[in-house]
Amino acid sequence: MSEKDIFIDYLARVEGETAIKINIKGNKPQELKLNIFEPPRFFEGFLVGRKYYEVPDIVSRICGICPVSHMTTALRAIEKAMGINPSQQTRILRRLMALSQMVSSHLIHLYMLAMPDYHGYSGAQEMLPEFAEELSRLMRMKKVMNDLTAAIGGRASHPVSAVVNGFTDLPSSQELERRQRDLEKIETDAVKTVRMVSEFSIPDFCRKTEYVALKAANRYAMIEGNIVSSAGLEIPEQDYDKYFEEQEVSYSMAKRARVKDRNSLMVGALARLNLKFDQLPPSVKKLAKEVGFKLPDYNPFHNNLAQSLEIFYGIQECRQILENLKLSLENNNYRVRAGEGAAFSEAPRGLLYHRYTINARGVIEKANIVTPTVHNFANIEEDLHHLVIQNSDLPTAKIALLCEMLVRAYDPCFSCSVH
Amino acid sequence: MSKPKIGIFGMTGCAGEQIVILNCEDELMDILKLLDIRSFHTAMSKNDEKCSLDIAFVEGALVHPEEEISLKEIRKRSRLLIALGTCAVWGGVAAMKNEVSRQRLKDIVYGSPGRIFKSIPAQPLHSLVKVDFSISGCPIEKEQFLQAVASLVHGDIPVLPKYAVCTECKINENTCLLLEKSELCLGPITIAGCNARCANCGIPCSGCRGPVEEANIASEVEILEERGFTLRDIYNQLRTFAGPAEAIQTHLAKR
Ligand code: SF4
Ligand code: SF4
Repeated sequence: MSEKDIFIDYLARVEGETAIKINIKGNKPQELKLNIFEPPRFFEGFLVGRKYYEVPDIVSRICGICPVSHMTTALRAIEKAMGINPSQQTRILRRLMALSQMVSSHLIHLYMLAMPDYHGYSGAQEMLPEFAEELSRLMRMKKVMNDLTAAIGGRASHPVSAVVNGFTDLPSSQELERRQRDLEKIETDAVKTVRMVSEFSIPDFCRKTEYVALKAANRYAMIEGNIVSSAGLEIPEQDYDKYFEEQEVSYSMAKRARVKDRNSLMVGALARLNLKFDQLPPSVKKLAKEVGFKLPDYNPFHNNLAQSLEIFYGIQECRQILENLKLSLENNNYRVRAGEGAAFSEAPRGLLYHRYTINARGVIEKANIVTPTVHNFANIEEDLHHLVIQNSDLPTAKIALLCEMLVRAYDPCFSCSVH
Repeated sequence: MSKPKIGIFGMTGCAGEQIVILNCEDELMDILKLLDIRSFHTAMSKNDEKCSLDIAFVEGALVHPEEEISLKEIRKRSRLLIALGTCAVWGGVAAMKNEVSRQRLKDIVYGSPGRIFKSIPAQPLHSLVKVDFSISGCPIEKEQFLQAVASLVHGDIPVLPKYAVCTECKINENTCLLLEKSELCLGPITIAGCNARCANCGIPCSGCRGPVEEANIASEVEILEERGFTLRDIYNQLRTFAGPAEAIQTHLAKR
């Protein structure tokens, strides 16, 4: 029987450190491992013994790409633990930050990490002569989104002004107007982005799985809602531990999360579109149809296309929110109380979970964090397995490239996954 | 003149510095034309792991023995090694509980006692190799990075401020959070460069850029104790971003 070995010792163009090891005999993978070797920093261990108000500042350092998500999720978990209900204004500002960060994150992934694969380049520097126009479009869009995140949070990465029950500082109305005008300028860029991604020659691959996302009644949920899945799950966020479990993986520093007694699951842009497409505005639906996006979509490589559609949506939604936004200074007082709180958000890469137990002095007694890549881990391996079977007669180098592209399509964040 | 050969490397951190580099939207295209980037794992494949480099930018702290080996190799092949970000310069958040045994942290995070893997208390790069220049910040400020690149490309060593965040904060005429509002602000002992970003928003400085030269830690601790903070809270905050820094270690050893 023919035998092939694939070993990618340090996967490039993803965040963090991982290796892929596959041994194929005949047409079947015998051994298949996503070895996430990024060393742990032990964040959950650090948080024990710290004051609740120090948590958001600390957890935002888990990830340089989605610090807003870690910060906001932690803030909400703490507020739930202490019985605090933040104002409508605070919730809207958090949604804006989550959206602007999502768009920036998707942009980096699509243009700098994924796109080179589809044109046979190693990265942006090599692509630059041929794709100068595309890359300047990327820069233009990313700047507008980063400026928006910074206008609200005081810094584009690792925001500073978001605190328990509110913000310590608010952008001026002139500033908000400027942000709104900038957003208008990049709407056609967003359409071009969707069209560009729809022209990638996406590998033909399909595998149905359980899609999981946060869902709310009246909007495309980013930070509040129930956990729903394509296999009929629908639970409030505090029930997560009852339905999900985290498992250790002997060859990886990251754990794997799944719904108890079920197979793997997928979170992120594609899962969100599969579950919440209905809630998108007509303009996004129309563009999706034009570029041939059909529901349900079982091709994980299409996570790229889903991200591009979310870029288009995110920009529109931010603009719409800004149009009606009037901010005023609020009283953010609250009482410190003991309690336990769990919260979710849709990070750019999918469901992110934080849970804290806080004592009466406001000290953290227990912390647990489950990241999107931990939710996707088992599914990536399952997809790799089937992708290898489907392509086992290709030369080893070709299979290896397909495997790399698949892992990248998930836009994994390995620093987050280990934390 | 041929383009300088550059490597951008990550030890353990959040990739925040690499993101700040990618966030230099107005300048990145020029930077890409000006430099010959040979290694940048997060952003490109086909990295050259052997060639000699003019400048290596390294982010992240050392938390694993393998990283010590790879950092030494980077040092060997680079003319200049620049530490990027507080993790690389001071140890960063990963070092905030260096006094706690790794086994205990493993037990908290992985639950199953006896899980075996290597891990060392987080250390800054200079604990192992010579660092030619440091740009701290969690994350770094993009202007400082751009200035540094401009100087380095011209063969100069960049100049960064040597005063404390407090100085910037006073120039901005903010209300002093430490003296007037009795908040736990590390501005007096933290190196400037962020234009007092947090205090501008009414948030006390948590020391994310690490200590200023000749920081008077004892006096900072005294002021905070007078305002009712416990030593535990003060030390926790001191250790959040720059635990391994000599000034902080010396102070803690005395108490
Ligand atoms: S210094 Fe801060 S921004 Fe930089 S890698 Fe460390 S945690 Fe991330
Ligand atoms: S004010 Fe302090 S915590 Fe804030 S960015 Fe500056 S150095 Fe960092």
